[in-house]
Amino acid sequence: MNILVIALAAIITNNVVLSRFLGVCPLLGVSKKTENAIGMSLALIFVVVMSGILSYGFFHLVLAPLGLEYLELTSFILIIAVFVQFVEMFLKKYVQGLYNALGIYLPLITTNCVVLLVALENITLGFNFLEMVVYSIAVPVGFMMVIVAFSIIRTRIDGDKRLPTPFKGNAIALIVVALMALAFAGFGGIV
Amino acid sequence: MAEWVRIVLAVVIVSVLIGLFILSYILNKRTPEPEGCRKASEECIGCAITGCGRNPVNHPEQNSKEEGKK
Repeated sequence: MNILVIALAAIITNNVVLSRFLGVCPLLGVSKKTENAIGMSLALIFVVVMSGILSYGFFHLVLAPLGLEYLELTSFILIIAVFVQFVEMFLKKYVQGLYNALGIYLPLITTNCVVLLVALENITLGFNFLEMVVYSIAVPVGFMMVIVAFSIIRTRIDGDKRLPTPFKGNAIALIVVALMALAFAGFGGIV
Repeated sequence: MAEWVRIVLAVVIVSVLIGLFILSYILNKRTPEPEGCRKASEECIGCAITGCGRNPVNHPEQNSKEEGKK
């Protein structure tokens, strides 16, 4: 039951984009085409889960026993950066098909604050290993849900000639995000 | 554990992680991109995420070469 609550809360009620306003930069940057939004989200799910596991293990096996908990922010940033570099290199060399599909989004993910948020919250919320894995999957799934829905709306809006010039581009995109955030606020309290 | 030992350990840990990052960055840069790969630079023109390593803003020398070709 606890697992289900963690997952639902991370995806819907505490959605990382619409409730906490994190990851808005990639949301605006990579939502012009739906296929790009899906590719970015899949790469994000992979990176968040793997970096979550690595940072959780590093904290509990290295930092906590040595009493160096204050190093979590610095070390997590470096762990995420190193992991993304190695994954990109591995894909370039051995899994070129996957690199073609997702590799383009990997450097973008390094700058996505959602990755660091999950790594830090896995520690501060006191999750056990299973809860940590569920949370690490649920948060980027919530991001995926929003970015895919947003990209579908955006492809329709961008092609609409009735849109007044001052609203074109990021202006209407931010208004759409605000309306989506209001809609998601309606889910508050269900979990 | 003595305080100075913990400080040394902290410095060692951060140094190792920074070293790993530099190593991974260099190795990644040296690994050639597969042929037929989508060119990110073309898709990234005008992207607002300037912190990303692929953003054309971060590769002024590449941009000037491409402009020279045109």
